[in-house]
Formats: sequence, structure tokens, C-alpha cells
Amino acid sequence: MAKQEFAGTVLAPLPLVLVGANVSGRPNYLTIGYIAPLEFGKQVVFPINRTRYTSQGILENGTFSVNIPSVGLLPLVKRCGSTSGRDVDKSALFDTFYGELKTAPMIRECPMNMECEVLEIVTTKQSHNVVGRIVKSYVNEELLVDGNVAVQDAGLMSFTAAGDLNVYALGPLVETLHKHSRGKQ
Amino acid sequence: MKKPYAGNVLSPLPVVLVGANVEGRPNYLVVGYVAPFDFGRSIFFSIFKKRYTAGGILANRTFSVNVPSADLLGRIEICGSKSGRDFDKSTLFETFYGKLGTAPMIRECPLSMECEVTDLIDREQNLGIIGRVVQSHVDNELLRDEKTIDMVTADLLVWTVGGDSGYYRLGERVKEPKAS
Repeated sequence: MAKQEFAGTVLAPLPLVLVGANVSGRPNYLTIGYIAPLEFGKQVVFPINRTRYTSQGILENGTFSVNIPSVGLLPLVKRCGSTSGRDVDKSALFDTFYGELKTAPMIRECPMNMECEVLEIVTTKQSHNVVGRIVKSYVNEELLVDGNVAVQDAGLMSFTAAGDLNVYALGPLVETLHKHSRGKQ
Repeated sequence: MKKPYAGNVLSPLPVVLVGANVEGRPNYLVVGYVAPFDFGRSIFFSIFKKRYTAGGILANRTFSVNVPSADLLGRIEICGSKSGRDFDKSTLFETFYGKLGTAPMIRECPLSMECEVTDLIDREQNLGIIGRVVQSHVDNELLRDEKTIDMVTADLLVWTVGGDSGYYRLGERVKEPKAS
């Protein structure tokens, strides 16, 4: 296959989440497209611009949430990604709930949520990266089947960066991984 | 109604093959914890410290990230189930090199990036590796123009967590509803 050079990352498809934090006592939600689990899924890491309103809250409280939206929430996801909590009260967009940490606001409308505590903020040459421990996850009751998340019914989506810039629904299952032992990353 | 669940529910996630030369031979590892960083100029992924590939990345300070299409799933599973210590994974794919010269890339993957290591995030059992994307390489036929990649034709995969653990294709493009 002949190849052509392309400028910038071409990693796709990517998850699309809303990161939540209390800023000055009020829930705020930021759209994040660069985020990955690590340490066998016990932690998550994402880069954050320190000038972001949300970073203030994450630094103040040492806690945050990761909320996984369904396709129907896309207009609100886009609004959270295009406005700052300095200008818009994003807490009005969603019904907020709290878990064990009490200071990590989570979005009830999102089918899946995780409350996290900051383990460290790793400053690299280019950015500040928040590493958080997943303290507890929450899933809509109807999606929990035999202790597993019925991901196919959650209406999840992925987005493509790198010159495509679209949002796609989760497509058909190609193959289950259950026949393998869970691979360690 | 929300119910507590133990574990990560961040889903769906990309799946890639990370390439590195280990003792002079290309080796490829399946990685499911990977994300762009730094406005897309860098890439982050997490690797179990004992992995054969980790040694090659640290020795050369270079690696590649290859995004496979769904038709490569059989070979992805071989890569994910065998160690380069025991099995020569360079025989599974046609390897090519780019600017760095030491980051082996997979010709069969529609999208590849060659990267140089810039930072390490040292966790307990895993190493987070951050690399600058030096150059990306895309199949000719997927480029609609110099800035547009046809991701539908690329036929990429995602995988899911939360006890579901499957490989999925992308579904329908989500049409933006009219202003709500």
C-alpha cells in the first residue's frame, strides 16, 4: 500500500467524555477528547490546559469526574466544549449527582460515570497531565446485566480527529474478547 | 437510577499496534490505552513495564503507533497473545520505516505515526510513554485532500471495557441535530 505523509496525529477513533469538577462551589463540565485509562484500568490520565476554568476546580479539590455521554447528548457535549464555565453556568445543562468523594460532580444523564481523585499532575515539556485514581464508577441500572455493562445499549459514540472530524455511533460487534484472558497493558 | 460498578468504564477506546525495534528486529504490541496529547502533537500510551517492546522503546527512544483496520483482527490477536521474546512478530506484517529510521511501521495498517519519546510517566507496574509525533503516514487511497482522511473507508476498530470486552466497528455517522 502506497503511503503519503500527513501532518499531526492520526489516532482514531477516540472517546468523547465530559470531565466534571466543582469550581468555586459550582459544578462545571468540560468536553475532553484526549483521555486514556492506565495502570490496568485503575487510573485515567488526560492532558489539561492550566488556563481552563475546570483545572482550577480539579486543583482546588483534588477530585474530578469522567462522564461518558450517549449520542443524544451530543448537542450539550458540543456546548460544553465551546463555552467556558467563566461565562456560562454549565451546571444548568445537566442534573448533577455526587458519590463517595462528595466534591466530584457527575452527570446523571450520562449512562456511565467515574469519580476520581488526583494522584499526581505530571508536567511534561508540552502540557500538564492529570493522573487520577478511579474511586468508583456508576452505571445506569438498566445497563448492568449480570454484573457487566451492556455497552451495546448505552448509545456510545467515538469521534475522529485527523482530518475527518465526525462523530460515529458504536457499530457492530466484530469479535468478543471474552475467549481470551484479559490482556494486561 | 445509578448503580455502582467496580472498575473503569471509559469506552469505547481505540486499539493500536505499537511498534519498536527490539534487538534490531521489529516487534509489535497491541495497546488499548492510548490517547493524543498536546493538541495532537504528541501521543500517550501505557505499557506494562515487563513487556518485551518496552525494552526496545527505551533503548531507541523511538516507537510507532499503527492504527489497524478491522480486516487485520486475526493478526492483532496474534500480536496481543504472544511475546516477541518467543515469537518473531516481524513476520506478521510488512514493515516500513520513515524519518526516524528506527521506528518500524506496519504497511498493512491504514494509519501510522512515527514518534520519538519525550516524557515518561512512571506508575507502579506500568509506564506511560509520551512521544512527539514526528511524521504520520496514511494510505494514499484514504486521503481526500492533504488535510482530510476518509475514516469510514479506513474501517477502524474500537474496543469496549466494563465487562463487555469486544472489538467493534464504527457505526453510523451521527448527524448533528438542528440547533436545540
